[in-house]
Amino acid sequence: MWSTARSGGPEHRVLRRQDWQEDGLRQVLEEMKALYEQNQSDVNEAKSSGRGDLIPTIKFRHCSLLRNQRCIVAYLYDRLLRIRALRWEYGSVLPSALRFHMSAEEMDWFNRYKKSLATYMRSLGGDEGLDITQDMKPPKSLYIEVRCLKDYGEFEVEDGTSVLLKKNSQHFLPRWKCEQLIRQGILEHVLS
Amino acid sequence: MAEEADLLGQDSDGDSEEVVLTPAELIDRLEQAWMNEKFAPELLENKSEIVECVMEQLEHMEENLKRAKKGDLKVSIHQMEMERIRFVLSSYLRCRLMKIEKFFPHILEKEKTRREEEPSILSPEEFVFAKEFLANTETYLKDTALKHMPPNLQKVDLMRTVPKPDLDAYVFLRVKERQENILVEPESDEQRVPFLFQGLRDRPGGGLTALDPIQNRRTPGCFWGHTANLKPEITTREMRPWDLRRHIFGNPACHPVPRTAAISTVPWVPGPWRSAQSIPLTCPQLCHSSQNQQMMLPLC
Repeated sequence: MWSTARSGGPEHRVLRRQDWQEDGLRQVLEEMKALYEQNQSDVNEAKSSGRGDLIPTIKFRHCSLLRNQRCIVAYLYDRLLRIRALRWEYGSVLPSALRFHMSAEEMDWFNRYKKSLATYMRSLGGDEGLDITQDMKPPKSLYIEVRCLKDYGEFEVEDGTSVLLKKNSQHFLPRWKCEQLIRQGILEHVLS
Repeated sequence: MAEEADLLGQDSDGDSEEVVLTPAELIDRLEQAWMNEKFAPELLENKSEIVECVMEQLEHMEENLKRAKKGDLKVSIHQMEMERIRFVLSSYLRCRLMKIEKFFPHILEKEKTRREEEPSILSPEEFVFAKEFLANTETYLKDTALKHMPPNLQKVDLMRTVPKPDLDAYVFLRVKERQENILVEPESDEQRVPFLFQGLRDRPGGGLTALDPIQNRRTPGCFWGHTANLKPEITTREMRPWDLRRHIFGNPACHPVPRTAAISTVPWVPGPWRSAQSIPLTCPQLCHSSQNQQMMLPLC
């Protein structure tokens, strides 16, 4: 969470995804509420009794309110960008460990983003459209050597033969079929 | 690519009504659009006709490959070609989507304020995507924080908070064809384009070419800049960067190129452009680059 105008908070920006900082956010919102109420009362007083010396204080509080708003929006937007990156890295289904770090609204946003992206990809032409979350790297060869990291089971290749993916077994498979599994961590590309 | 035409077993048939493209030309255009999109700091015009054509070609190729005999060497070569084309296409579309997501308020604003005759930068599907993204983000921000804030702070002006594309970013470019009539009036000292015309020499017959002994065998007029046909007196002017920008990204004859290691050693030489005389090159690196010489220009 970014540091707020007055309350202390972690100053540094975390690079890894962090738990949804419900508490931090709530503190900032409460602080904003308090500041606003103070400002309101001062404004009323300034208007009614003509106390011009309250105006700098009012302005200062307004500035800190604006700063708090900016910090909050920046934090939320940054999290959104990271969640968006998750869709591109992990695919449609997120690992459950990550789902715990997200709030309910973030999950909503993620689902809506997923749907929006899927609609766009389907409209790209042809019957099923083009899945642009595949083919992230330029293809170097048609077939690649992969090693299986976890037990997966039967895996069917395009010409009908199926391959049994057991842990630590190595196979020579078409690249585009493996890409998905490599990203999920089931297969590992062996570079030798 | 001739093989591809054989395998396709059909005449070259681009989908647009006006122009008939061979598959080679289509792929070339796709690659051009891809490179332009990658290196431009902002979203460029959409090339949905190229995308559609390429998708159709990919489908044709796939159908043909299914019918071909197994184990034929041609099959794997064509499959590889298909994968490459698919990668370029995906990368191009990904780049566009990324820019849309990055600059979504500005793009949507531009779309709202554009006139009827101007073509849209976004394809219809991209426009829908952008609108949904905006709505999605606004709903999220509102539900999570904004509605809990004091009443005068419940709106966030996304146009001001989301950064604009940096049109002052530097871009490398290379001119592929001779360019006629280019230039512009300089406006102020700050808008000079340094380094652009360093090391120029008059060619017999007019025009300018860079001092580069290695490049002598290339066709005349292939030049690193837009000023291939400038008369010497005109070349004392400096070119305004924003004019270059129009030419770079709208012009099929020149396109941005990725930086190479040779370029990164090229020093920055400020100062006004010098008139076209035989001047010795002050930066030897320019002289010995073995690619087409490239320049670094600020775009604004």
